[in-house]
Amino acid sequence: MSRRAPARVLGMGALAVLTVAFVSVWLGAAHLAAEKVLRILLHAAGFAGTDGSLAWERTIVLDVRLPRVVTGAFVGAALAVSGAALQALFRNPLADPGVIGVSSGASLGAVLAMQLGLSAMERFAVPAFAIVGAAGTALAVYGIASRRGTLPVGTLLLAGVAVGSLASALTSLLLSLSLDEYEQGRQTVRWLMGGLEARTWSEVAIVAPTTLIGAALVVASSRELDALLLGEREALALGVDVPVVRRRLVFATAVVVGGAVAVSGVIGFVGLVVPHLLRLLVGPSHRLLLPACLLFGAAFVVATDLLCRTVAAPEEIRLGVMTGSLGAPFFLFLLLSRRKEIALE
Amino acid sequence: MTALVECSGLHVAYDDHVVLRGVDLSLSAGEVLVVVGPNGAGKSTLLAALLGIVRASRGVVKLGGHPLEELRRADVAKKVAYVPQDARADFAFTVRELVSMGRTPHLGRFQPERPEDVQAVDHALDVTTTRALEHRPVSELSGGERKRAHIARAIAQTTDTLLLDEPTAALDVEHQLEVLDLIRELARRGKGAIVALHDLSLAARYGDRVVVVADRRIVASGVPREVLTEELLATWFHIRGHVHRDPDGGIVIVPLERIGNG
Repeated sequence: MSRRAPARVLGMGALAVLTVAFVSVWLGAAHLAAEKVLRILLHAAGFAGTDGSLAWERTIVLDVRLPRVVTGAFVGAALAVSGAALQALFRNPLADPGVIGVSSGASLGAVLAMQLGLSAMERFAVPAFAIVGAAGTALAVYGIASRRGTLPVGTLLLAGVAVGSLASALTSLLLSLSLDEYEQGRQTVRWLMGGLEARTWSEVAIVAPTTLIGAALVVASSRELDALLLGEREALALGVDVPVVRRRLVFATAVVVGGAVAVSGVIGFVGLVVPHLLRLLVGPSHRLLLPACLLFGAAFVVATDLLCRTVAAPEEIRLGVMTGSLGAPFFLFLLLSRRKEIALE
Repeated sequence: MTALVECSGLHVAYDDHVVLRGVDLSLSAGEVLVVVGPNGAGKSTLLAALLGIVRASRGVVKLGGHPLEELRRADVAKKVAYVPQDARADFAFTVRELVSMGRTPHLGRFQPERPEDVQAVDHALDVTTTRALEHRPVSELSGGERKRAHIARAIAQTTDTLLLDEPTAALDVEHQLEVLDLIRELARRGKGAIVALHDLSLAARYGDRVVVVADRRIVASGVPREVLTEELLATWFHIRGHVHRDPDGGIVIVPLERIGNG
C-alpha cells in the first residue's frame, strides 16, 4: 500500500474521532434528534445561547453518553499509542499491552486495590495500583526476554504469556478469596471483562491525565523510537541513550495502560491492530505514526463501543469481548505470517 | 594534533570471558586504518568499544581528546558514526528516512529538519549513489543497496570519524571498490576512518595503516606492506599465502592453502 500524505491522514483521523463520537452521543436507547444533540453539545461548549432542551435530555447527552464516549476515546488513544511504543521498544510488531501481559499486570494491581477496599477510600488508588502493576510486568517481561540487548520474538511472547498468566492467576486468587462478598466480586468480574458502560466524568478525570502525560512522553521520544527500530547498537551509535529511553518508555506505557485499564478493564488487541494498520498507511516513522495512533485509536474504541451498544440492543456486548473477538483473529494472522521467523529461533 | 580516536590498555570482557585485551590504537584526521584478523578475533568488539556501545572493562578511550565516559551519547554520535556488520533491514523505512536518521544527534526533540540537515542527507545519498533509491523501503533492497544506504546514514551524521564493520561484505566487486574509494575520498577531505575488512589485498590497498587483531589483541600494526607478510599469514591466519609486491609499492595477497594444525 502506498503511503498517504501526513496532513491528510491526521485530518482523516480527527474527522473520524469527531464523527464516531457524535454518532455515539446521538444514538442510544432514548431517542434524541441529531440537531438537538448538536445544540446541547454546542451550548455546553459555550457556543449557542439557549438550547431549548429538557433537563433529562441534557443529562442523557452530557452526563451519560458524553463521558462514556470521552472515556472510550482516551482509552483507545492510550491503548493504540502504548502498543506502538511497546512494538518499537521490544522491536517486535506483535508486542501489545495485552499480549505481553502488561494489561494483566495492570488488572492485578487494580483488583488488589479494589479487594483491599482502597478504591472506596481513595479514587486514585485503583489507577495508581494499576500503573504499578503494568510497570512491574513490563519490566519483568523485558528482563526475562532480553538477552544482551536483543529480544527474540518467541522468547518475548512466551515471557509475556508466563508473566501475564501469573498476574491473571493472582487476580483469580484475590477474587476467590473474596467470594463471600458477592456484590464486590460481581463488580470486579464485570470490570475485568472490559467495558465502558456507566462511565462518568470522574473516570475521565483519571484517564485523561494518564493518557496525556504518558502519550506526551511517548511522542517526545519519537526520534529515539525510530532509531530503536534499527537496533540497539544503531540507536546507541545515533546518540540515543538507550537505557534512559527504555526506562522512560516503560514508565510512560505503564502510566498510559494503567490509567486505561483502571477505568475500562482489559480491552485487548487495540494496541496491536491500530498501529499495524496505520503503519501500512503512514509508514513506520513515529513522528507521524504516534499522533495517528492517538486519533485512530480513539475513533476505533468509540466506534467499537457503539457497535457493542447497538448491534444486539437492548443487550450490550462487553467491549473487551468485542475487541477480543475482532483482534484475536488479526493477531493469529500476524503470527502466521511471521511463522517462519518465529520457528527459526 | 589531537587524535580523532585513541585507546590505550583497552580491555573488554563479557561475564569473565575476555574478548579483547590490552589494545592501544590511535587514528588521525585524514587517515584510513584497516583492522584485519580471523573471525572471532575481536574486530567487531574493538570497533564497538571505541564508541562505547560495548563497555570497556579496563583502559581508556578518548574521542578528540575527551574521555569517552565523560561524553553524553549524543556528543559521541556527533564525533563518531558507526555502521555495524549486520545492519538490520526488517523495517519499512524508506532509504531517505533511514539516511535522515543520521541527523538524530544534531536535532532537538521536536525540532524539524533544517536546510543543513536536508543538505547533509542529500549529500550522503549522492556520494553513496543511493539517490535513485531514496523512496524505496529498505526492506526491499538488495544486500549491497542496503549496505550503501546504511553507510549513507553514517555519512549524513557528518562526523569526523567513521567506524565501519565490514562495509564490503555482501557487495559485488564494483561496489566494494566504490565503498572503499568513497572512504578514501572522505579521508582525503580530512575525516578519519577505522574499517574492519576480511579481504587482505583490499586492506593493503586502501589502508594507510593496518592493524591485525588476533588472539583477542593487536598482534601487528603499521604500513600494510611491512605488516602483511607471509609469516603473519601463517601465524595468525593459518594459511600459506603469497604476498605479491608491485614495483609501485602496492601488495596483493594470494591465499594458497590452509596450514593444517589439527
